[in-house]
Amino acid sequence: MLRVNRRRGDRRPRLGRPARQVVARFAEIVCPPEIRAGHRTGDVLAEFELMLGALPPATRRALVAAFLAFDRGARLYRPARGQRFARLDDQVADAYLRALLRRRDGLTALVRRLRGMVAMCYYELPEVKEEIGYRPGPYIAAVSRRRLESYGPEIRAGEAAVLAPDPPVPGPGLAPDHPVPDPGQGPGAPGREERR
Amino acid sequence: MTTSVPAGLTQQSDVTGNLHVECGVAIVGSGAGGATMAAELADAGIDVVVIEEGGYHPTESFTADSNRALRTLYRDGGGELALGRPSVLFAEGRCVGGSTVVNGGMSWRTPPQVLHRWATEEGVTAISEEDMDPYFARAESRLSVALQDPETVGRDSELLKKGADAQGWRIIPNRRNQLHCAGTNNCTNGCPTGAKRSMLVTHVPRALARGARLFADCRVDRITRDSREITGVSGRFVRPGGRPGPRLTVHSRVVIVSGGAIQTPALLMRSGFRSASGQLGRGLYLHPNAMVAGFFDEDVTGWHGVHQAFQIREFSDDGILITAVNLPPSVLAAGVRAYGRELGELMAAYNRIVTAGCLVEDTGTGRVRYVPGLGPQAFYQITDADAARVVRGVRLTAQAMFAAGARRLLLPFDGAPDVHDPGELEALLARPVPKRSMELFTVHLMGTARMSEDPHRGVVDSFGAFHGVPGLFVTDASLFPGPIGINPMETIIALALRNARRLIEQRSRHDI
Repeated sequence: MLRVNRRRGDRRPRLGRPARQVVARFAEIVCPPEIRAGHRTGDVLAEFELMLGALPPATRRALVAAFLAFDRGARLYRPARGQRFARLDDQVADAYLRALLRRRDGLTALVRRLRGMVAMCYYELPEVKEEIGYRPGPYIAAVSRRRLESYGPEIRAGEAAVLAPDPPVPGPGLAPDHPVPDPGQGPGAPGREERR
Repeated sequence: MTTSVPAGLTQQSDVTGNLHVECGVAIVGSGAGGATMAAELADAGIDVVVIEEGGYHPTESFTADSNRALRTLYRDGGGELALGRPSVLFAEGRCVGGSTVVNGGMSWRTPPQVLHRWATEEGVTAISEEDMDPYFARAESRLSVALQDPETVGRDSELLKKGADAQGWRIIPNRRNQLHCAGTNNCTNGCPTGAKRSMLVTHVPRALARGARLFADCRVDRITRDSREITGVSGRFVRPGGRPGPRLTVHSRVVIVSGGAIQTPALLMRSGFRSASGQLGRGLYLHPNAMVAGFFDEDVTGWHGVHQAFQIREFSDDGILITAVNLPPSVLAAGVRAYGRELGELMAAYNRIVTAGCLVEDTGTGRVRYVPGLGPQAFYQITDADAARVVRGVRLTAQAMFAAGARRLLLPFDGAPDVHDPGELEALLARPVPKRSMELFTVHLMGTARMSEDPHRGVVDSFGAFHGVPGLFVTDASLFPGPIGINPMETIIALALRNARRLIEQRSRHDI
């Protein structure tokens, strides 16, 4: 139940079917209603799986376990009438989530973290960014052009200075018994590894 | 996208079998401390190998896709926790260039009173303002530290300044390591123009040009030694998806650890090193931050203009800094308490929101433990005094926002209602704010391998040499014996320049 499938050569870990169901249902409750209207649940899941792939295996397993526990825990919530979270209607699912967030204990912190992760995935979708007026690509392109047009020669000089020799740091040495050697070309060269 | 890889840089995809490498100095980590050391030592003709756990991501690969950045440039997706009540969310860079690739680029010298404290309380030598001045100057020259060009200051920063001015508070423009920054507001996703002079575009290429070798995608497991003599490091390349790849064994006479205040003590501990001071992994300071989101009537478009153009310094003597920090929508949405329809309504106003944060110079400390099977884990419990300072910082930030014209504020306290005017704010904060309700985060982690000349008080000496272990050094923010109250990058770089000079002067002693 807690397994995370991994397809050969694919960086994105795949949630098992039960976990996918729970995360998808969770996303429909915590994200704005447009997630359903825009048929975005699958995209949010894909983004979530990519995010899982960046986490250490232990954290990944813990998060999946947390989602499944959240799902099963709904059975203990009286209005759920013994149903899992994934099977609840919107109103009861929302009430269950709200009840957990009201507790203000360790469980609340965990549920809030799950909520935050899924919301984060939703607001990373390009169409959602577009809807809220966040269009950084054209802006970045425009100010980058302005930068080069305004300061091109200074920028090129500054970049070249990175490799230029420095004057020695003034003042006495930190260990005066050992003189500072002249800066020079280092002996290390790429590709000197010895294979054994 | 095809990009050229600098000569001397080896990535996991280049490696098919186990590698054995000989060098004079092995440096673990390529961030502010490690890359600076590498550049200095290579400048002096020393044979340097740098091992970096993260990948090589060139400037051309940086976009405004925040989740992609979190996955590729940060450790554990940028969502690590220092456990406590409340836990503190923190982020560390994990890529070639380290956290300098994803920080805001604030470059400030260590406050003189901090240097004085380190000298007088810990006996750290050669650390006075005069001693450090040439190293700060060199760091600032190499990294093009300067004020922003005025056309790049965004409306969110202007509003914070308006609020501070209305309150009569001292607010100053930020000094940043930037070469005519374009103001893309993409610092935390990697600078897409290369204007931010991170280690990726400064000390890493400088070191490589002088013959240093860099192995990316390689996690160091252990520092190796033969009785009391350091012999190098061993690690494994990391394949996509975290799968273990071939082994890398580096034989060196000197090892310099620069993995940051969490990973550095963890590596030292799992390699079996102990400090007579008992301070290894202890003394974790983290400058707790709290964020206030303000809604304005006007269009702010906070993602236009530079990240953090100003800092409110009025309260720096009390250990509080305030600045405007625009958050990308996904990060903002993850942090607010609203969900469902309410979240949609809130985020529809994204371009009218200013996010500003306060940073608190902490007095309490946490620690790092190495948990077998899980890895390093940070623990941190905020003190009552620091919690009170957080509340004060939030109050001041909120006052500045209202003075600038905010109509509604979200506060970083769980269960706190939105506030709509200064009266509501004061009424709310008149009641005690439980520590456990505070939503705290940080990117400044310091102090887990502290400097002191006294081996019973510190892990390393004044120049980062591990007490009692010749050939082993530390060069990152874990050196700090205490918090510094400002952005730590320039301090790390200046200390690395100074400590590199010391090591170069003593190179014959280490046979490098």
